[in-house]
Amino acid sequence: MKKKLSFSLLTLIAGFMLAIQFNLVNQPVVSDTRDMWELKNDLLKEQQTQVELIDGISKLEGKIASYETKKNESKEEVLRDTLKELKAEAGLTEIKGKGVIVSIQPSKEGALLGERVEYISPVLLIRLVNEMYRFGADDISIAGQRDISSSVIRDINGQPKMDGIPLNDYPLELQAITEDPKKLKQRIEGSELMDDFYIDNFEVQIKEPIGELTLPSYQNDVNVERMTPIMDEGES
Amino acid sequence: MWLPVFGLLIGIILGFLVDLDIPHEYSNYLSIAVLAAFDTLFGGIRAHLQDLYDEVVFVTGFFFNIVLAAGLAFLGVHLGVDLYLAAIFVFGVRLFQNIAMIRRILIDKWSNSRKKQKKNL
Repeated sequence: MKKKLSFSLLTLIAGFMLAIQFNLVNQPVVSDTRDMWELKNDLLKEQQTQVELIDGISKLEGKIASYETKKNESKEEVLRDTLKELKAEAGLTEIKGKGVIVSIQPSKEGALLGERVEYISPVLLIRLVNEMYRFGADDISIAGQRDISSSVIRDINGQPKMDGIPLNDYPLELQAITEDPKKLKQRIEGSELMDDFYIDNFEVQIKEPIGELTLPSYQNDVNVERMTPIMDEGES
Repeated sequence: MWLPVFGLLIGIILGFLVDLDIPHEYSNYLSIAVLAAFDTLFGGIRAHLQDLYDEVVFVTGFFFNIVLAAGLAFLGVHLGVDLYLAAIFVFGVRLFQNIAMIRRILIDKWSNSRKKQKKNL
């Protein structure tokens, strides 16, 4: 029985192969019975298809090209935006917004007593500026000079100067832009700074203008020392 | 007796129904394989009639011959020599021999049975 089964299996395989071979050899040959005009018509149809295909290809290629340019443009756009942001952050652009004006002038009491008007101590001014930043000021200008990260306020030949420009005109105005001017004002008023200025015979007034303040951009060149750009080796 | 025939028929029907498409380049190999398969089948039938049938020899011979024939044809194509003709020759000759043997054996059996019948009568 087992013999017969294996034999039958092999005959089955042989039959299968035979049938396939038969099919392969006896594939009907379709003869082409079209006459010249029909052939021409068919050729025309095929040419039409070809034209359509070429048309489609060129359309798609145009799309690819437009996508590419968009991509490049958007890259440029992003770079520009970033540059703008960085410039704004560095204080190289004019900035508008709500804020407070802090004006410092010699106190009347001192003037009445006939005391000589001293210059504002740079240390005190630095402290004021730092405290204002701490209280939430985003950008500050002092006497129309934008305060940036590399700005220096110091005593030069007995005069307080900021980035080389003297700060001896009274009232000395500090403009600060912040999101919440009221809070900033209250915090400055509540701090000990007022007393410190008063000790030096200066009076500090804080105003909260209704309109928007405009801080000028930083006028000088930003001198970057000991920093070099890293050359990116073509990795995108 | 009828089971192998039945298997052959089923195989043929299956082959027609499946509609398997083999590339034309391979039709040579398939034809040689078919020839080898039939050679082995008839050899098996002869051996069976002569009571020499060995299943292992038969089954291995079936596949081995098919593979060998196709391989020979393949080698021939790549060497530029029509080696498949050798396979066709060998298998064809053996096919004829086997069928002739089968015929003689069957005739012998038939005549023997007739003699027996005559004796019995």
